[in-house]
Amino acid sequence: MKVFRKKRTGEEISRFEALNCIPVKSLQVRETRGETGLVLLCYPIEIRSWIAGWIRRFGGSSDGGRIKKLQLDELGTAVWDLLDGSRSVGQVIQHFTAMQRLYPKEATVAVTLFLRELGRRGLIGLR
Amino acid sequence: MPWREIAWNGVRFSTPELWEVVKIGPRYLLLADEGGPALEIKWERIKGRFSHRTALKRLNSLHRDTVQESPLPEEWKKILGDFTVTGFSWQAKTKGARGAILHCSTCGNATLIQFFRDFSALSHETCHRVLSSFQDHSPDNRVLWSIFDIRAKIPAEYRLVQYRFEAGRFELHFGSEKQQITLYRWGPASALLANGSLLAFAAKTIRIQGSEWRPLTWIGHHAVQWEKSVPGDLWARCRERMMGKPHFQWFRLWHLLHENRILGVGAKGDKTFQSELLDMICTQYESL
Repeated sequence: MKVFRKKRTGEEISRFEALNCIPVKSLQVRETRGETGLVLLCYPIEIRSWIAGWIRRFGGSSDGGRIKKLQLDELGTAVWDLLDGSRSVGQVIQHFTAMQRLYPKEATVAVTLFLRELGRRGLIGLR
Repeated sequence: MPWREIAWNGVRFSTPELWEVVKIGPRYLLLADEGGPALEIKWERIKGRFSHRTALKRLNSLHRDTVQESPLPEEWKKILGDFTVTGFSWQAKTKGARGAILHCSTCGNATLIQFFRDFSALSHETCHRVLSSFQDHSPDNRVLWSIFDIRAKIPAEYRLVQYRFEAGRFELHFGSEKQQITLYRWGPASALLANGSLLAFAAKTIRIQGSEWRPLTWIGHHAVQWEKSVPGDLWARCRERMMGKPHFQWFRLWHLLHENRILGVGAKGDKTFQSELLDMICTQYESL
């Protein structure tokens, strides 16, 4: 018996279903565009209560939430701009491939990894 | 239906463009489309005699005794006339395949090709075309490499040593004794060169000071080149050898504006490469 087997948190979806999902930006994300046109994302993160306690003890803010920043590069900005709440993941990949004249497989890997990272940080959700 | 050619480590064949390479090994390719795996090819250089029966037994053990020797369709027999061939098929609960084990007496390669579909008449044509385009050795001393969006010809004596396919960066390393040739491909160039020139990119990526690179125009493309050769005197050569540095090092990177890619060729070794050879490799290296 594998004691430490990784628990599956939910139902796995097929590749086809994943490509049909629509990425939606979180309402809590604030985006600012720099002079170079690159997007800076600011989003709140929840801090565990015991860490917040330590921060408080050392004179930090006591509200338990902090703002984190994520500076996107040119490609990240291009993908972020394609997330309009109506395009599916597959359509975002198609647009990105055409825009950057990339090899489709390469664009798929790059975009899906990027969206996964945004999802992990809670910046987008999939509908 | 558009087709394209795939060439990898000595073998080459044509496939529908919709079939993508999803798994790659030094002597292995798995192609799939949206419906799942479509074609698997693995090959090996055989020293001495090749036994079809043993190969079939080995395959059978992999597929839990479901593999059966099956007669080849007449069309397959005709197009695979240059090989000694054994046909086979297997069927598991959810998937099955039909294929052939080929042995080429010219180069000694044994190849297993299998199609993972229950093919209709149209797909039989697809199999037919894939098999008829299959070659396991090149007619000249140049080996074609054509995978994803790159295509190059490398002298046959240079064997594949290492490869890396990552989003935005491909690398193929070839070696022959102490000589090494490397192919690079980066993209998208517009993003990589957004904050600087090709020279700055080359300096940062290859880790050689910008002032040492020489800008040039290579077959109509903006390019940069760097070369280092240890001076001829014995002491200098001994010192470099003790330091583990190659006697000769060379890089050329060029920007394909239309394809939005940066291609590069690197060479290093204990002997100086002929400039004609390096130029020829660069000329035949392209992004599709």
